[in-house]
Amino acid sequence: MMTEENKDIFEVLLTKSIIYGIILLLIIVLAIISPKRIFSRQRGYEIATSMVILSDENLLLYDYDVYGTEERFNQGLILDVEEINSSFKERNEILAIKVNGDIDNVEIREEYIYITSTETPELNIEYYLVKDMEFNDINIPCRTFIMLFEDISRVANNIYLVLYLAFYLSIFSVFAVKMTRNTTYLIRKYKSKKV
Amino acid sequence: MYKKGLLLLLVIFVSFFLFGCEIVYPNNTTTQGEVAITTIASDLDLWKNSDEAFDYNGDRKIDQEDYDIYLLQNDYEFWKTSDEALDYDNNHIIDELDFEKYKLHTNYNYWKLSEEAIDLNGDAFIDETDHEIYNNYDFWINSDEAEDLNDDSTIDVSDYEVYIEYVEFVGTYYLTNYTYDGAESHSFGENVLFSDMGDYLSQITVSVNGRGEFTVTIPDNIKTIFGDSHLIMIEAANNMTISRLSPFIVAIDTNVIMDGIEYNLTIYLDETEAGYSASYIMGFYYDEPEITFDIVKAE
Repeated sequence: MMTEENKDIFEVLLTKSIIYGIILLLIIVLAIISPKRIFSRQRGYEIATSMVILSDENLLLYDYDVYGTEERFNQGLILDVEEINSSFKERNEILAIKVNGDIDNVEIREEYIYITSTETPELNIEYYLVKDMEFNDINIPCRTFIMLFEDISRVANNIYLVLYLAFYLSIFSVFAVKMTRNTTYLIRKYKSKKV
Repeated sequence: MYKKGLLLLLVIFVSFFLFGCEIVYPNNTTTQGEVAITTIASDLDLWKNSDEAFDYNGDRKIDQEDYDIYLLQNDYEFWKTSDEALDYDNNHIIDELDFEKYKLHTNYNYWKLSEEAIDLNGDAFIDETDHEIYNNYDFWINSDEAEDLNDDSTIDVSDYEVYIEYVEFVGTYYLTNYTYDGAESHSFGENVLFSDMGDYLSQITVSVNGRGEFTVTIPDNIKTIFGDSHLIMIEAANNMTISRLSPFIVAIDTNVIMDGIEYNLTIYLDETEAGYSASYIMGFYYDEPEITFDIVKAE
């Protein structure tokens, strides 16, 4: 038969264990969903792409593809551009493509620049390498910027990861110890109750 | 008899009236011509919409001229009447076996689908490099050009890969036609103004070997003038790699460490008759000075 005092302790321990358990679960969930990197590799590209200089002398003709029909041209705009763009990304370069259009227009997309030009022959995709970008009124080669950004973001990401681990480990360990201790007491009490 | 004659005339008249002269007396030449043109146009259209369509003559459009070149590489009858038809297997007959050889060596897509296509350089891909090896490796390995370019003590396909990557750049170069457009006060190091660098740079030579390695030769008097800055030039040259990015662009990549910071630098080169030309904007100065120069290959 359980005494009144023992019953109170049992309830307190149970409540504590539940609370610590919930907090522990919350910490684990937060640790899982929280970002592990401040800067993604993509971010450097996005910044560089949004700041490129699009004067003619800053665009170097890289290559061009010619297509026989509109259908093949549209396929090329997806597949061939993606293939060329991935080789540009490997080298940390920014790609601009030019296609024929009624008016000269520039559209800055996430990973490359899309230009329509009256001078580009029909059913052609011209690939250009963008040399420089303007950052805080300074002309800087896109490749230099992307590589520099990658170096800086690597350092920042590492610092963040260390702080992140230190923070989560410090609170996780406290609650894990408290949770374990209370659960152990709870089990002991439960066993003694059964006996 | 008279009635039969009248009936025949009536039938002929009705025939002319209903069907017209051209159907009754068809003009064979015109019709055949029209049919022939329709067939070719149809084949051309089909080809234009296929993976095989390619601007063979580089005129920025895919048309009949490209299709003719395609046929030369794919149609035996077409090839047989061309100047390309040669006795490739030396059996004194120009036949389909020669055409087969011709196709395997000139048509990458055909080769890739054939049993001859294998991964010759062992990179786990069958690509244009393997086709290049298929075409020219045997000639190279038996030539004076063959050497151990990757220092593994054997001369093999991997050396040929290094060879084809850098052979176009091998040589000694000097810088000329240097121009500087910017403020007079900007200097390289402490002693040399950018505006004066043309005379000095023209005395410096750069050599590229078959491994794509750079060697810079700086005369002693220039070393003295440049002071410690000449060490940066040597470091930059030692770290240089040259590569062809595309049919139109050659790039030199390098990096130097100045004041503990690593700077990556890329110079894009335009091809000229004598070598290359380049320009570089120094964006870290407020007035963004630009230097241009030619890199001329020594004879």
